[in-house]
Amino acid sequence: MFLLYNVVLSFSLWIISHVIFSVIFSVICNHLKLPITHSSDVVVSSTFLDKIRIFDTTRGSSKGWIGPVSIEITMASLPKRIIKETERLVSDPVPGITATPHDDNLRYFEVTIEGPEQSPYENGVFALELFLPDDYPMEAPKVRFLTKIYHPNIDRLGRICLDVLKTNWSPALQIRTVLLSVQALLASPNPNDPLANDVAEDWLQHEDAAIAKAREWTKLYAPRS
Amino acid sequence: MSKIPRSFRLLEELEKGEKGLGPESCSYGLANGDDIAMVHWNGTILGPPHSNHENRIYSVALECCEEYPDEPPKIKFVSKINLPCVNQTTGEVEPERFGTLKNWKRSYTMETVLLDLRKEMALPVNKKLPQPSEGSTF
Repeated sequence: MFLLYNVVLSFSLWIISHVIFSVIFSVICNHLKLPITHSSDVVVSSTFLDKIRIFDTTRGSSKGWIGPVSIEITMASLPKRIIKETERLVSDPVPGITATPHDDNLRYFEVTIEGPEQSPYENGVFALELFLPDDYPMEAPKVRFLTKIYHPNIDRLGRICLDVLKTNWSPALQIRTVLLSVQALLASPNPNDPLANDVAEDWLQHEDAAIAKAREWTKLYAPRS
Repeated sequence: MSKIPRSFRLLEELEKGEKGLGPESCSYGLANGDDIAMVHWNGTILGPPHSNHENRIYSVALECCEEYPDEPPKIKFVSKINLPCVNQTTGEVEPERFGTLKNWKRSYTMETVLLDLRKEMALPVNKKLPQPSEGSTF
């Protein structure tokens, strides 16, 4: 009888401690805004991953306690190469160029490029977007202008005709070198290899007028705020 | 898998549509080539054979909102058509009555929508529905 009593008691104690523990655990999780997952759960929500990845890119912050978890998960989700490139874009930015990843998609960057001096685009600041596809760096980044621009190699949707974005891409190139190439394209339009045919024709036939129009559009659509 | 942003996804769809890389039974492109936000699109669906739609070309208008492709596009028939999922006053395809929109997945494209509408036209219950005269519009 006594033995049975003992077994029941210890069993109920075990149950109680379990319940208390899980309540405490879920409260902690809620407090830290972490999803409650069981060890058998392999699925982690993407927003959770992104949050963790952000912690990692701002390493050295007071959230250091999440470090070991973050690095492990980050390695699996965002390649180290992309993390390194992003860190360097922030710590050692290219003059006249900014590139900031979106909080909810660290492969998707908001980009600004200043128009090169002595080009029709000088004093303009152009907005672009950049995306690193799954196969990056084996595949080139995808880049597009969001600001309207009058340029023979950039079409009305902001698509760019630039060799390093297509056939001449190499994994040795980087986000920063690609953006520098885009900036260089602004300095030297190439109407003989056009993407926007009407602009290229204008450029070849009435160069002065075309350059004047490019300046006008820069003032109109890309003013430095 | 990383999540391709809306604009690059739409540029991919545009390229496929522009180059005619998709199937012959449908086509799609931007309604206005200047629309940098790529919201408004036009599409056509070639009526499926062995149905009352055979040899007809239906025009549709698509709208990809800011949340596309997380949210489905809105689609509206410009050409008049008699189909259960199409509102007979406005020409809008009603998501509640069209599974592709109702059970939308991020991997679906505008092409998926057009091809599935064509399948809808070819369904045994729909293929012999009386149709308005060819060329009439909503």
